[in-house]
Amino acid sequence: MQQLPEKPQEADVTQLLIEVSEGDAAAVNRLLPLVYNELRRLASSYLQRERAGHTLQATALVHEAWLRLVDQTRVEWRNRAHFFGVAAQMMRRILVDHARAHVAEKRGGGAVHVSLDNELEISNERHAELIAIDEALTALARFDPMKSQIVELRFFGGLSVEEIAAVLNSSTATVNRHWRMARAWLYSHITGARADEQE
Amino acid sequence: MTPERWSRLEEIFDAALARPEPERESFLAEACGGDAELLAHARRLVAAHDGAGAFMNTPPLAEAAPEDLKGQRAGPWLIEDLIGRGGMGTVWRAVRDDGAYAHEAALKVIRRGFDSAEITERFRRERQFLALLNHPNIARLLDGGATADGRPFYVMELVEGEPITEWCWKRKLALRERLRLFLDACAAVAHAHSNLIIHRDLKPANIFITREGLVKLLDFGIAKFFLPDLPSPIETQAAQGVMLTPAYAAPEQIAGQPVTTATDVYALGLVLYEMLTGSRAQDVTTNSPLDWRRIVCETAPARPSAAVSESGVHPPSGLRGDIENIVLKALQKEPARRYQTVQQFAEDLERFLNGLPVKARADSLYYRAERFVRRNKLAVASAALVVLSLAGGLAVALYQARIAAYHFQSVKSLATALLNEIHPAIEDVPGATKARLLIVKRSLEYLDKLTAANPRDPALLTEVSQAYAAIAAIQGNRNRSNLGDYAGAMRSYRKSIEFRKRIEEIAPSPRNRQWIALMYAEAARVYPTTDESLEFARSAVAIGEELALTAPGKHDAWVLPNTLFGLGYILTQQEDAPRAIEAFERARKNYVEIRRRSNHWSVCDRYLGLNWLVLGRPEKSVFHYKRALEVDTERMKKDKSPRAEMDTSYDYEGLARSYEALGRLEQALEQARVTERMRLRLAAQDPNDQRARLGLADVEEVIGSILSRMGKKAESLRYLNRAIEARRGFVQATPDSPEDEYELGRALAAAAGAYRRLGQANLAQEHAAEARALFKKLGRGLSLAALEREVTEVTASTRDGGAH
Repeated sequence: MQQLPEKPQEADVTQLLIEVSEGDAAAVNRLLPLVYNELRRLASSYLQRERAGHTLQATALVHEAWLRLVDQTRVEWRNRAHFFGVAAQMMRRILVDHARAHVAEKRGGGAVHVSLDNELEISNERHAELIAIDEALTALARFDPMKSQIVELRFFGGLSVEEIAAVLNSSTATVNRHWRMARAWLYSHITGARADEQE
Repeated sequence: MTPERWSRLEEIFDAALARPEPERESFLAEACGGDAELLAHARRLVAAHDGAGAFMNTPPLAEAAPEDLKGQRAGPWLIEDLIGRGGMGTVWRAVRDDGAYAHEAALKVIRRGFDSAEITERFRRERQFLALLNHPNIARLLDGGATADGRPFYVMELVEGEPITEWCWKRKLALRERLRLFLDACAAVAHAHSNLIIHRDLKPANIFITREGLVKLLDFGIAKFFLPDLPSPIETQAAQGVMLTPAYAAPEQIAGQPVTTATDVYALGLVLYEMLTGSRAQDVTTNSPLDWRRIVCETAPARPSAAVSESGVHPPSGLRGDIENIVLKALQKEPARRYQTVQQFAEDLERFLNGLPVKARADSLYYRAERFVRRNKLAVASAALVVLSLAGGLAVALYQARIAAYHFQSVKSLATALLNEIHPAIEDVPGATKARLLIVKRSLEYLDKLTAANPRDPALLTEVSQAYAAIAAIQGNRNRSNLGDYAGAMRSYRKSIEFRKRIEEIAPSPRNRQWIALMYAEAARVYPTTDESLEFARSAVAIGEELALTAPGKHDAWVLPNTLFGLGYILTQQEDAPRAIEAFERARKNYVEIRRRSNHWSVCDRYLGLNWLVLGRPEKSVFHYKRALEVDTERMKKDKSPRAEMDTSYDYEGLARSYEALGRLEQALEQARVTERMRLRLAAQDPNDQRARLGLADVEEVIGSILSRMGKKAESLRYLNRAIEARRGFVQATPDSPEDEYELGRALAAAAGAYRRLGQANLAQEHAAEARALFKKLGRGLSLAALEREVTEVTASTRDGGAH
């Protein structure tokens, strides 16, 4: 993990993005693994040192991947929007996988030596929440994929409302409206589910 | 839930939230119209919306507490409290417990988890920048090293105080007091600039006032060297974009365009705006690059006098007029329209403080004035001036220290960057000679270092060879503005050829041979009358012929005619007219065959005309000049450039000379007058155009000579003297230039002939003697013979005249 390779696949990602912008839907599928691998590599180099304490934002990760993967001289704003859309989806997967692995490790009982400081407690709680959000989001996607995607872009991808509007070719007002309801629905879904569990 | 019900629920949810809270419950009941399940869903959603609190407001990765280094050691330093947290590092109060430094200091260390290669590199650079700077208004670097776990840290003077803006606001300082503080900040930034460092992240949080009231500039975290060296893998424009602070970013930073000293001028303008008004000029509050672009690149700030808040200068009317114009000039969106250096900015403020007229004008006036200057030209010149002002204050030692630290790759890139990026920017700037000489000197040093190890990598050899060729052209390519170091140019050309030949041994290719031919041809023109030059020109033709035979690709078909043309030129300079004619005939034929642009045909014709004239066959010359004129007249219909007009005027001039030699003086004068009109127009268009000025001297010489033959004494001498005067000017301005000296000789010879014809023997002898000396020095046998012929011939006719 120490040695970062030279910008991997630069030409491919840039070219694929341009094809996506030109309406080639199949290009998205070829783009996904490239972006996933890069994000995963970047994220794991940060997450491995998680316990040391750090502040890391999805936005920063996604931006870093953007810089590494894409030839900046060849792309325009719309390509950037598409890239971030794909990256958000991939970030979700990476973060949720990481949270799952973390929770599994705890349950496996192999981590008793970890000191119980506040920082770690918060972080554990956060892992559980992340998994819950992911599951609720998958449920939401079944009947309102638009809202699910907006949540993905904003929460997991760290995109601003304006960026999301650009990705979805929509207005900021619409994005805000969807976000508001999706968040309410997810909150009620998760808290409701927890309440059910407790009953 | 069905899609229909879901979208109905959505409608109700949105409509409910649009209402004031107390009305919501009754609205929900009404909207659901007795559908109990729908109502339950809607109620739950609205309740969830109100009760969700911070749910999902923070992205999953944005958390975790900073590490605590308190009590730990870093080298001889003992770490105390956390002072601050930046983008890549944390700053701690630290003391040195061995007593070597009595005061508290600030210790900056990369945050753990952030010690990637890129960030570590950036951090090292910041340390390096600080080490280069020594100014009372810049926080001083004290020490540096690595922590026990290997992270780099550095220690600097501890600056305790507050941001410059707050300092002014809290104390309700008067305008003059605020400006005085700001001028100190300018001095600090100017010091960085004179060390070739651009800060790039100037903002109130980086300009502190200490408790003692002293300005201190902090945080060179994203600064960069103005001259490109130490190329960093992350130095993409976009990378800078991620690190910048949008509210204090310049338009070019948002747009990913090159950052110059004018970028710091802009940021200082923003700081001054905020110091004076108490409001931000760029109110960027969102995290959206779209908003940044709109606000930073497209929105003009409100006039300071209209933006004064409580913290600003009172009364706000005090900000109207000059001071407002100064601030707004620094905040121009286009870098070229700002102050080009921080000094200029500061000087204008000083002028304001001293009650003198300032340079900044209200925008509309400034704009109107500027429209008279061609826009591109201005932009280029301004950029170049920045380079110059920096190069002027350049410390050689600093440069060398920096260079010594860098490895091979950097040196290579630096040489290339100097030649390809920096030099072109200043090439046409009057007075840039010193900076250009320095660039050449440094580049040669780098290249010599590079080639000391006798490299055999073709890519490297190619680069080196290109660099030597570029240097040679700067030193002494007579076709463009050069430094007049012709001996140096020859050395560089020979080096360039040498490395090309080495490539040919390792990886021969037609393209490489093409380059060798080109280098030979260019080198031949430096000292056109030497044997080496002729040898070079012939070698070039030999390669051209070989390529035409073995690699007759369309893209290199120009090599043969170009080298033939070059040979013709050298032969012309060496006055071997018959061989020159042969070379130009072949060149022209080749150009026509490959349909090379028609101006190549006509330039061959002009040289043919000239050489036939030298051989005493003016009727042949008339043919060639007429043919050239035909082609050029056609070309001028499409091509309105000064260049096309200049070329055409050469055709007219050639015709004038040819008719003069044929004794058809009326016709000759007519053509010469046409030439004169064109040249006057061209010279007026661009007073700096050397070619136009030279051309004017040419035609003055021709007209003077024709008029003398017509017996128009006074007018003739006026023209000839003007021509000689201009020629002397050129010879003085460009020493070691055989061509200028030759042309001076020709003007003198023409004058000698004219004086003879006009019966002024003494003056004729005087001019002839000077011309003779020049021709002898230049080895111009034919011209010498022609001079003697002219003098004798005219002497005979004068004698005849005297006998009557």
